[in-house]
Amino acid sequence: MDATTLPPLSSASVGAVLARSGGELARCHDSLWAAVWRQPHLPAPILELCRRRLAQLHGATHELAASPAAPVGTTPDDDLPAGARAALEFAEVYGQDPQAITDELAAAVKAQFGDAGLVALIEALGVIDGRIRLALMLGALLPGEGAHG
Amino acid sequence: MADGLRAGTPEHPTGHVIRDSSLGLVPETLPAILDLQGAIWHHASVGPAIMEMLRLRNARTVNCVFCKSVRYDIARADGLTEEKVSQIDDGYATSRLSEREKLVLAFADLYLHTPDRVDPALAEKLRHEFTTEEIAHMAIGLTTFHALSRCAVSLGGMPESLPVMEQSVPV
Repeated sequence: MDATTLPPLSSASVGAVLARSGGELARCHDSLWAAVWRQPHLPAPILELCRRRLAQLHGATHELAASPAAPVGTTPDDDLPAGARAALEFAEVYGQDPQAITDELAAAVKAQFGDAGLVALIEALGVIDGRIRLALMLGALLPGEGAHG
Repeated sequence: MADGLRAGTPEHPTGHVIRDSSLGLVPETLPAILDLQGAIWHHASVGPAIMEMLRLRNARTVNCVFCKSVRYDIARADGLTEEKVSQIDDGYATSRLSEREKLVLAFADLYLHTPDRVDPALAEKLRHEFTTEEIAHMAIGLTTFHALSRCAVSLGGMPESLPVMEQSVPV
């Protein structure tokens, strides 16, 4: 691989690529990425399940192969706790069309995590979905490490 | 809670449009959101008019009524007219917008519709027209607008329409 090409990117590794050219904006974007994973209203392992589902919806194979952003168990989907199931069902619709989200989907998340948990989930889904999109497309648009431009 | 809004708002209003919205329920992410907004509008190398074109192309694609109605004063001051805004529709490729502006909208459509399928010819045009810093800044601006507009849609309570409203960027 030469200096002008990038390896396949993931939502985690695209931050370093943006940082090489993005200056203050990239630093602020990375701070938000870190904050959505650290907020206390929705456990990070649940967000990790959502990240995987969004990656599947995008067909992002490298994203699925990337290291988990938070530890998750091996529980089959049918046996997931109610909170994880509610968040995943919300993410499933969010990933396809946010206009199709229903009050019932939102209420199921709020029943487990409260209003703040619902807002934290929506914010995180937006940031994670966005980083997956950037990881998919920026490899073709930005140079690899060591290149200048 | 406002009619149709799926989450509440902070108990003690501050007079700040974002802090007093449902986003204020998660104070752990709010400073990062506000800092990012500020950086996008005040420090992006492409300037506010280009950023506003990205924001409005996204708003029309996501169909966020709030986002579609807003015009940031900083972008108008940078030269974005309503005549140009009216051309940010699906016919932009044959509009009177400049080639640079058309590439900005093509960049938005790539992110919004087919991020996994980058047309090599489009990639070449983008790399020729924009510096790597400009591409990185457009990417960060667009992904932020996309996340926030989908956030507004997901939280519900969206009116069917709103008039165009000029606003300053929340600080």
